[in-house]
Amino acid sequence: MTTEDKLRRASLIIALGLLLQFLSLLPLHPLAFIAFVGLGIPVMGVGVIIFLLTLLSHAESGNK
Amino acid sequence: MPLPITLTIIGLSLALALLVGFRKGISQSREGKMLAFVALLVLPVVSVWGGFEAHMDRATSTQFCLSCHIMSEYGQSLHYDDKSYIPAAHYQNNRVPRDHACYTCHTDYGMFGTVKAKFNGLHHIFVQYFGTVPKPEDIKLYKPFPNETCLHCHLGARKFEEVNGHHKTADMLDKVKSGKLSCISSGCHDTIHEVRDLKDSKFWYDPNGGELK
Repeated sequence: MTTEDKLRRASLIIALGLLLQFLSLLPLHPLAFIAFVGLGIPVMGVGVIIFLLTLLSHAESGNK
Repeated sequence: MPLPITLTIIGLSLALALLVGFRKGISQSREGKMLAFVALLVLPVVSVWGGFEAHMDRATSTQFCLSCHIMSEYGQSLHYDDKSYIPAAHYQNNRVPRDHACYTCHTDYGMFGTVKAKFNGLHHIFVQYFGTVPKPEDIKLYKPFPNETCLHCHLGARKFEEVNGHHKTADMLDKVKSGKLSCISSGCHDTIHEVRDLKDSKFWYDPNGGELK
């Protein structure tokens, strides 16, 4: 998988997390908060971690 | 941060993340790399911060507390047409902000009062979906209602300091202020939500609207 592909995958996962966060802010209910903390943030966090790891691996391959 | 602004930031962040995700080759140029950095790191972090703050802020509203079915009778108890019911008298006379009525009286005013209230709220959600839900009239406070909550507003008020009922004995007011004599459970102001009385009571609703019904 190329750096470009990894980046695109990360961005789509982040987008999914952001969508969940956006939707969780529409209803006023305790479960909306649970959805924000339990789904939106973790999904987005996974995407951000993939993004950062992609940056790191790209920098390492560049140094070699 | 107001909710519309938070939603706008999350929406913008979402759009940019999708742009980076679907537009091939966008991260090849220097500008594209910068865009990806902003879209995939900076804006998502801002979105989480704003979203969390918005959720926390909304969780202090009366409407939020009453969004759980089990609380609806407590919401109705704020409309008793009888000033001897302490929560109703406070709500109807704007002694507490109507849109933050529950939070105003049921959150400690200490450093971690809000955090404790949130953890209690998580416990309530757990019980609602995985535990045995009590009847509304069987719901009890975690600990006796603290005088500090009452004193947060009433301390120093002329009526509170001078009313005859607070000087039945020489040291009564001092005991109240030190928490040795409870405002509520000592029997002086013990008519609270009393949801058992709902069936046989009259209710008052603000004719000007602007409140929950």
